[in-house]
Amino acid sequence: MNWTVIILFALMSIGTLFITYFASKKTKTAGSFYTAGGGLTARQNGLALAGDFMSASTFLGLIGAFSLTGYDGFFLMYGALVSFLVVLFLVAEPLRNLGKYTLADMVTTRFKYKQVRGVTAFNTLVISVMYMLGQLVAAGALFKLLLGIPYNTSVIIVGIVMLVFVLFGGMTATSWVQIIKAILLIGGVFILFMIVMWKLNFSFIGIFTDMKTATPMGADYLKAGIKYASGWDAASLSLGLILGTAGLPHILIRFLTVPNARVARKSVVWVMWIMGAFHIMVIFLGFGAAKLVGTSNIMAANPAGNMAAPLLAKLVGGDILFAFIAAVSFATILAVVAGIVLTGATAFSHDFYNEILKDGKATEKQQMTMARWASIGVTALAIVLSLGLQEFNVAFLASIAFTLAASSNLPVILLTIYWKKFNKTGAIFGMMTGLFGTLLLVALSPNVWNPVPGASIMTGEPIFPLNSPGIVSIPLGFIACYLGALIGNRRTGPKTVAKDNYNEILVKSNTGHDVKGVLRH
Amino acid sequence: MVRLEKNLDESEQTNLVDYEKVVASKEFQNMLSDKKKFVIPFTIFFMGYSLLLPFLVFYTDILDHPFIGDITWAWAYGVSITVMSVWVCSIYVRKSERIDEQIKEIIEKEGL
Repeated sequence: MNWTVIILFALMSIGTLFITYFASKKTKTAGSFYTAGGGLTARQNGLALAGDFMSASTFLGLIGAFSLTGYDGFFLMYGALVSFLVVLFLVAEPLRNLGKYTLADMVTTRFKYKQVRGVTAFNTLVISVMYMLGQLVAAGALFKLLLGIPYNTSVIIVGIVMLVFVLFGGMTATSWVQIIKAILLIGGVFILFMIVMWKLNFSFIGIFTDMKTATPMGADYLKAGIKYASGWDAASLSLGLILGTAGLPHILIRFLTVPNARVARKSVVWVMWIMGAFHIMVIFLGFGAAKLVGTSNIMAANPAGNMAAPLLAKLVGGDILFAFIAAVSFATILAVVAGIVLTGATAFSHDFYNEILKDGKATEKQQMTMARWASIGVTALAIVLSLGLQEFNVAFLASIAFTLAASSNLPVILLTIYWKKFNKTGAIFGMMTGLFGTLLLVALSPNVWNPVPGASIMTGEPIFPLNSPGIVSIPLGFIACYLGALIGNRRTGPKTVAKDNYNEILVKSNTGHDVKGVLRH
Repeated sequence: MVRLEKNLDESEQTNLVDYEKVVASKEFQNMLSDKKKFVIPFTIFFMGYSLLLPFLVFYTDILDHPFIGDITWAWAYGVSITVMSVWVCSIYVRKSERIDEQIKEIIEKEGL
């Protein structure tokens, strides 16, 4: 037991509960619960977005990946910034202009059918729970390593603490926790970076020479191919990461917390600068961990390298820096999981309950009650599922969520905004094919099948050769949308084409003239 | 604290605004084509630039040469994706300020 760690953890929890208390006073309507009333500024939302994105698997995982696999760390990392360009160029502004509370709101602005809303909300729930599993499993592992608390107990503790501030504070509290956490994380990483570089005499070029002999990999450490067997596997992973962000509901919903498209755009600029700086520091922290802590020590603490950052902090900064980094990791998990729970709960109470069951006539109070019950339900489901997933690789679970988002949500989002001939059949068919196609490919991949008995869940040759299904499943999602649209157009004939509201979508998504109402306040 | 305005009745709005006319207008078409002129080439550029990396480092050795000291071009390329992203992002912001002007004119002219 490390008392410094426990005290900092406690302070962090009390701090977040304080924020929740103040936010709960402002959370009076369903709108403020779902999207903080659309009143965040560009800097606030940019920090919150960066916070959402720098999850435990990013922060702990990337430093670990660079320390253990050298150059191959890039394939896990570089997709992130490019993915925000995809969001910025193609999705953020139309989404802000068309959406209200959820992704389903945006899609149903064009296709006003309950089936479309239902499928989109279902998709949001599946992706959110999938993403949450990775975070909860990481939390369990982290607590177990840092505090010696058993895995199952840690998962339940994290689940309950996070639930408390989602229940009372809604999106306002979640956003503020996310913002503060992002500042702490960047600050912590910067301090660690400065100390590590000071230990290495700030030789940014010389460190590359040192790395050639610092690890068991020798000069290969600086070349691609330590982790990934082929360029196709690396490209498939990167493609999933590049396109996944633009389909992740808990990231997209962040663009609905700002008043207009201009602010949405500016918040991406903040994300770019914050994450750009973070990424550069991560490379050198990976080097520092490999050189100072040593490959064998990192592997001994966690074979996937997830403990590289805390170990490095302990080595160069002693117990206090170690405790600080560990507490920030804890806050990170808490904040990210809360954002995801909220996204799932909103999809349930707003889409399923209010719009589908109650025809949009549920009162504010009924919706808030339903959202709170849904938060409890989503959390309970994720906790139960993650109790059975202790042995799973965290990065694997997170990458499935990304690829699911890129294969099922992204094609529908893009075609809804940009393709005149797209229709309801295409949207439903595309989302279902993307969702179940990805899950099927993962089920047939080397992640699940291994010829060596006991190395994976199933014993046998994998039918699908790649670890990341993105390069197949993403085109599959687009093709399914296209074929579905063709079938739909043939069945309904020219009558509905005349009634089509694509022009209205085109005007609204470009000008955002009907979100002006929010601005005036 | 900003609060959401009450829901506008969508069908009512559709009757008020003639979207066919707005889309057909010269200003709207100009705005769309101006937007496409930078969104499409830049999207192709940043996707191509970033997806090229795995193939270059796995299947060629053109990036294996030293850039500065023991830093190879492969590392320089990897880091340049970060720099490229920030740069493309700033171009987008500048270009879309101009589009914002056009949109403002359309909103005023069409009375949206």
